[in-house]
Amino acid sequence: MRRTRKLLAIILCAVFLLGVLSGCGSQQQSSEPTVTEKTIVDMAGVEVKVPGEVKTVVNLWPSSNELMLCLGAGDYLVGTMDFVKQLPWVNAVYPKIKDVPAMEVNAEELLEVDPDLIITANADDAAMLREAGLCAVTLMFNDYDSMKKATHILGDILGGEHKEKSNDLVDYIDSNIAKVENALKDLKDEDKPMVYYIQGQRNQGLYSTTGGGTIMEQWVTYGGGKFATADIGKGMQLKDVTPEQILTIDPDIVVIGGPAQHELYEEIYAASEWKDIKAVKNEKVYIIPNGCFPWDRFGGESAMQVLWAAKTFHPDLVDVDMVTEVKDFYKKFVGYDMTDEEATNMLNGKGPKGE
Amino acid sequence: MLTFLILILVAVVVSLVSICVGRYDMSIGDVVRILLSKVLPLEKTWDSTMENVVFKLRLPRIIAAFMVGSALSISGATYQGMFKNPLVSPDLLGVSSGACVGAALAILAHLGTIGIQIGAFLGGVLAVSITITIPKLMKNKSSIMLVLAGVIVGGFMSSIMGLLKYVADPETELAEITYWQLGSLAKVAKGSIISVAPAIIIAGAILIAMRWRLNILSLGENEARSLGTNVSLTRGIAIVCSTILTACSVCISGTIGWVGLVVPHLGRMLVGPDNTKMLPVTLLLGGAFLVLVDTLARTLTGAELPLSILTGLIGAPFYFWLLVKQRVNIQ
Repeated sequence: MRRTRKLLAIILCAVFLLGVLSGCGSQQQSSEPTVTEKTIVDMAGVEVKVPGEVKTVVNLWPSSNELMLCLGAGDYLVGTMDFVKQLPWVNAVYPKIKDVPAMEVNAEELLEVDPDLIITANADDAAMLREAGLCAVTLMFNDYDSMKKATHILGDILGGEHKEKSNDLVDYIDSNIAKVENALKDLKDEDKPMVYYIQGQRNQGLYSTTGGGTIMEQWVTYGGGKFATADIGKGMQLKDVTPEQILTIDPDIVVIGGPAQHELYEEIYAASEWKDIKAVKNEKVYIIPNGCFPWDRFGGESAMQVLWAAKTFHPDLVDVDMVTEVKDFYKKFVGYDMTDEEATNMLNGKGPKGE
Repeated sequence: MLTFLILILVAVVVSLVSICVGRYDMSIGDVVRILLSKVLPLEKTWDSTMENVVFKLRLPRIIAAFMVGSALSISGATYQGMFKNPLVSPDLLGVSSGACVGAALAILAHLGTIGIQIGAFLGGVLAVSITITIPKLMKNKSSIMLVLAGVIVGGFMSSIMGLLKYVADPETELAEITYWQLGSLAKVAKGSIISVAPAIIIAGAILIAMRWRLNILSLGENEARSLGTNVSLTRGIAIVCSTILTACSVCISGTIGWVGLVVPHLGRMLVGPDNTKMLPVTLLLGGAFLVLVDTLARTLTGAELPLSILTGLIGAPFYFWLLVKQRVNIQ
């Protein structure tokens, strides 16, 4: 009896060991030879070998989905996200999105699809997918500099006309920044309005915002304003600030972004504690344009946010026709002919048909 | 003995079924051929993607699921025997809540997967150390004191957890903490299995080896002492081993509820309360159960389902059924 039991234990251990060992063995299996491949360094600093010609992409981050549309590369998408498929402007400028299935980070499912490239925002996810034998890169960006870098990487991967477009997009960002800096060069520090930003990804109240060092601080500063919460905290993680902090700052201008912006706009004018704040009293509460992605957040369209901010904060100093700017951007980068009405709707944070 | 053999068979069959199913479509024949090709010289009739799926995705997860399931089950069984309480689960002394705090801190500090694992392990061990120290400070060695200390530490850790969740960024960190707390083997990698396997195997082997001593412990403290057993030493070793088992599991899979509570009951139902038989049976049952649950988690939908959701949905009604059945038996 004792003996059999011992024997069983040994067999069990052997089975376990065999499993672990064979798992190790498969590591030596070399990948199939590809005709051409290029090595790129992704946003996580990892060197990744990607196929010379990338024709199918599964894109698992909203911002990089929008960036692909801005490089005219929507047709490569074979997998996207539910969130992206539900955005009204994405459906308007790229109707084919409804035929692209929504996917998740699931290695087996992605192996079934077997795309040339998978784009993620999370370095761990990308590493896990590469371990499974897929080609995955991290394209996370969160300010203008990292966005320019990510745009170049995406251009390098896709090549051809998309490479040109990625260069053009980076040039466009730089030229917009230069344009407003030039227009506002004589602006004195005391003439810069104090701007408070409300983030309305969902309605978390009037005191949900971001801190210093974010892309929001960047476009407020480029636009000739002072970012109200710069000294309260740093980064996107800034928790709700207290009402007293904001009311003490007494912002001159309030800008509201995200899908909940219209709700928040109503709320701020209805709130009794905001009644005597300069921004509300002088009716300087503005809704940030919302396109394939909210302009205030990191996406290709945030290139135009710099212009919008400058024009909104200093209408007499900055001479830009935003409607023309929007139409040109969509024609040049996304390849979509927009009507004046549609452009106006987007600038007002509304959907393509004004909803 | 027969039950034991049947359970080995069950565990093997469950693992084989598990390795054959998944979101990536391939035939059972292919899987079998790929597996056999490691021991037999077979002609390669499959592409390397299939081999990747089998050896890099499914096999590591099955091994991890089996390890975690059996580790949680035998530490639950040990605790239940030691405290003579069928409601006890491995987190009685605060190991899970401590591990949660450790992992959450690592997530907030952006330390990456390995950092989270180390954080979880340290947090779990630290929490149990505090729990064990409290009765010592009170100079009271009774097990009820230990349980009370566990409640105190657990409650304290939950509050810290609440604070950490409050300061976490809701879009990224909070989501990661919540997902971690619900348990998942989706991100398990070969490296992390190899790093925890020795600890799990050694701690598990010690518990299995001392299982007749656990029987004596479950007689009660005075009885055990009168039989010449060093109660605090035996209990100390059992607690250390169970803590290591739970902390190691938690650190690769996150917290998984119900397994440590329900599986020992099932084991007891099959072979009775004798730890010498019950512990090995529980080990196999727990392993097979979690392999099954994890297979469901990765095949039911395109997204990975957190394991605690499934173990809870299966475990709670099952526990109820066990209670009903036991009452019927008593009458």
